[in-house]
Amino acid sequence: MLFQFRHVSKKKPVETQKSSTVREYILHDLLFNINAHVPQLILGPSGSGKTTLLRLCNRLTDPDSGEILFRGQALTAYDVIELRTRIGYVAQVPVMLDGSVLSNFKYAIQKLNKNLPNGEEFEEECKELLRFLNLPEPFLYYETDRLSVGEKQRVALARTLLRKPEVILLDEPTSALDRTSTFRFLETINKLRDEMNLNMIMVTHSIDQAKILGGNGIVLVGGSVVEQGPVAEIMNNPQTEITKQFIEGMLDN
Amino acid sequence: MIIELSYIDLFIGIGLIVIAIGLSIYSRLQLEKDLFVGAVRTFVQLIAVGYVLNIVFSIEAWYAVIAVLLLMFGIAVHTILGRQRYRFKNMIPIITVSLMIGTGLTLFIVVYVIIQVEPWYSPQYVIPIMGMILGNSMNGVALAIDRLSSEIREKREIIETRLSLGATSREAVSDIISSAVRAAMIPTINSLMTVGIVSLPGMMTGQILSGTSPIIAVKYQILVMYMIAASVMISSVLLVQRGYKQYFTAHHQFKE
Ligand SMILES: Nc1ncnc2c1ncn2[C@@H]1O[C@H](COP(=O)(O)OP(=O)(O)O)[C@@H](O)[C@H]1O
Ligand SMILES: [Mg+2]
Repeated sequence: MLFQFRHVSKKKPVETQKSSTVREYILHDLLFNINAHVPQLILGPSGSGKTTLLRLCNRLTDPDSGEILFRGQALTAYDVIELRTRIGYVAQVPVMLDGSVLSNFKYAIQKLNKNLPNGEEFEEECKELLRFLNLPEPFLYYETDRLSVGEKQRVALARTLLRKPEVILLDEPTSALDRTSTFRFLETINKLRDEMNLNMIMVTHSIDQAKILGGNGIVLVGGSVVEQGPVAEIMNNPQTEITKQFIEGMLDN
Repeated sequence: MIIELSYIDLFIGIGLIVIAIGLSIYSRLQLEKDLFVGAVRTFVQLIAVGYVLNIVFSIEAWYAVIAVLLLMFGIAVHTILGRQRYRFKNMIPIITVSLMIGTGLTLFIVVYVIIQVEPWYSPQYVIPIMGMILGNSMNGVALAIDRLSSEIREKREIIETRLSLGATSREAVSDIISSAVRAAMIPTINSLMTVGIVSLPGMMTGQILSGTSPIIAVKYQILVMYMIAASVMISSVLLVQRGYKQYFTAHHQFKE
């Protein structure tokens, strides 16, 4: 078992309106497991808590109650830095550090190996990864502020992959890509899973993506899990009215 | 030979302010009210301080000196707080401790190791020296906290990106920490570079006016410059080292 969520809840840290009671929760009483070797999709309308759920997994934030286990052990029992090495996170809005793509890559690995890898060898590895993500090699030397959002998303993914994590958390990684690029991106993701033996937890909005990637899904609505199981089953045979509406809504997009 | 100023001389000096106020009215700058209030405050504050110091100097008691130092500290901390756009937890104790260590250590070295005053609380040395290092450290610390808080807020996403890439919270804000200390130190470094060329420092001018030989005044001024640099540096480094931690948990995540 990769992750186990045991009655995990998280409230909004700032309580501005006292009147609303349900709305205080960002995530409410999450109870589910995430298996290794099967892609895990997190589905749900915006504001339903998907990003917060991912951020719990690498401890950028902690739950208010409940417990999360990673490979059978409480998340809090791990050293956070080690945990974040094993669990890579690619945020919804890609954030580039100052400088070139290469300097972003160097930042990502500097804590991993005590001695920086041989310059040329490392640059080769980076270029290979860029090709793999359908980015031209010279990108390695570009300043990151010249990149488009879609390119930044892929650079951010590459930056995380260089760290050779065992789990990767992807927050709507294709939100800035057009249909063709999205399709290619998903193919790449599928290849990655096979070649790097990578476990993947991905937030997505799109039903096409959910179909291509398959695996298991969780549907979050208003911070609660309303549906879970194999993605195909959720799509074909939604158990709740709210999921039906959500799937229809996704189809409209 | 010292030419002492009388109150009559000072009243004639008010003529200078009158010229400034007149110009402000003539040019419609609307500074006349601020100039007037400022001039009155300068007069009242300095005269009051002069008399208080006079009393403290004449009683020559350690507790009177300590009381004045504590009052100075209180005013410095209050001033720093007043200049902050953002607050973080434990701000007051962090400011106080950083200033106390920075100025205290510097004061100790200057007064007891270098000048070697007797007795240890000798107000003629302790109070003006503390005044100079505290005033400069106060400005430095105010700049450092402001820079630290605003950059940590503005760069939240970059910091979280670094954290996700395995940085500790200290590593994730290392550039902000140096930029905060730089902000604190820049005025001091500038004055180290230009002192004597562009400006004559107030203390030195005062000493020369009141009859001290320029050579003695200059030696004191060199010491003053060095002690200001040390004190601002120590205070602001201590401050940012403690200050950034208020934004993070022990698990390298932002506090909520
Ligand atoms: N740090 C925070 N402070 C206050 N509210 C937050 C915070 N993080 C998330 N939220 C709120 O929690 C809800 C879920 O946010 P999020 O996890 O980003 O949802 P999603 O990714 O599904 O769009 C939103 O209403 C958001 O405003
Ligand atoms: Mg989101």
